[in-house]
Amino acid sequence: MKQSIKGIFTAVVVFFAFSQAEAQVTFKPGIRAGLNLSHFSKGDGYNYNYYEDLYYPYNTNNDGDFSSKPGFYIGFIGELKLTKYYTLQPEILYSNQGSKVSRGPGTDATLDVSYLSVGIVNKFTFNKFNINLGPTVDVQVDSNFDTDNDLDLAFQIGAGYNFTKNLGLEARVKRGVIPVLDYSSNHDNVVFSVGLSYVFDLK
Amino acid sequence: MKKIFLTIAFFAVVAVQAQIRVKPAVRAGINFSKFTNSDTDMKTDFFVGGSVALNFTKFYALQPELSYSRQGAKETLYANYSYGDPFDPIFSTRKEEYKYSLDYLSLTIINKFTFGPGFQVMVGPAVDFKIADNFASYGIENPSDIDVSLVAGVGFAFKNGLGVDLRFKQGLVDIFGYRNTTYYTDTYYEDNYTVDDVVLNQTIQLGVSYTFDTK
Repeated sequence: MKQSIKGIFTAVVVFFAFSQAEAQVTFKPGIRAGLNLSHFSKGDGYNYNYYEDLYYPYNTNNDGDFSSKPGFYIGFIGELKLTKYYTLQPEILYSNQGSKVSRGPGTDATLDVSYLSVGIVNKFTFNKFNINLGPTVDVQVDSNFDTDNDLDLAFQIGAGYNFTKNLGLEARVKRGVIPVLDYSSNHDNVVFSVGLSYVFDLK
Repeated sequence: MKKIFLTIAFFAVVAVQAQIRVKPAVRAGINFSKFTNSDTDMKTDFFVGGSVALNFTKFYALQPELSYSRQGAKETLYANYSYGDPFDPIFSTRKEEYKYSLDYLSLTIINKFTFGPGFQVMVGPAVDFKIADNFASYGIENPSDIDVSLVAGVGFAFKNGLGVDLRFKQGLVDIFGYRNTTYYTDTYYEDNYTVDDVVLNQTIQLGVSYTFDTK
């Protein structure tokens, strides 16, 4: 019994020692920036605050048709390459999001909201391609309308292609889970983004 | 006298042996700041300053900093008085925007821990001396002249001297202080500045720094 425990212990130590020696853990800081195409989710689409008022054109039983609006993101990333296939990538981004909205003719509005987005991305690399996903915490830093929540938790998933070891192209989808607007039905952040990333070689 | 000399000599020897490296740096960035316990949003502004890192070990540095930090908060009143529902957040018209500014000269003592290729974890206290504010123009009582804050953050330092960091700064002093205006018993006014709520500074700082190579 004692012998077998000792054997297991030795095996574990040897395994970790080997994996430690083989794993070339590298860290590369970088920047990423690109274009956002964002809108707010529709919710159930019904305006629960609807009432009859001929003189108020915004007041329809439709909660609004939300459509895409362009924005941008820019920020810092850190590539912690743990194994050949797996990279942990913390990010700090400034992300300009929002939505267009309309409740019929003459009621168009553009809603802008910007976040400081801190994310942890799990990146799986296959040669030059990668798939990445992870959660973010978005702290609202600016908006042009009366948002109902100052914080957003979001999940993102995306794919990327590396032209060189340093320069990459990325496309992502991000979905918030805390409603930006909950006046009638709930409207969450949805962001499609395309952009470039560049990591620096240390030393 | 001899004792004093010996003491100085002792510390000089210690300093030489320990090889405390002194590294000055400049640092600037963006402040996103607001007030807690209020209806304010984040105001975007900047900070700029300098620091001196005392590298006691490879792992630990004490880093006093002096910076000019523009904080405050933004408050926007949305309403649509012309017709309809004044509370509809989508179609309410922006009416007024207040930008409360609080400019501080901030003395921060950062404890900086460095890991691996340059990861940094920073934590420390700060004393903020108010230089200017614009509260009078909004008819609000003068806020506190001093703030004491706690700062915590993470960063990364490149070998060439450039660094990036993200910090969270939480004020600890009620910036309006005690005011004897508790005659508002109406809970409707709880969010106003007119009652004696504890209102604190809260700032997110995104900064870049450059450390000079002194040898």
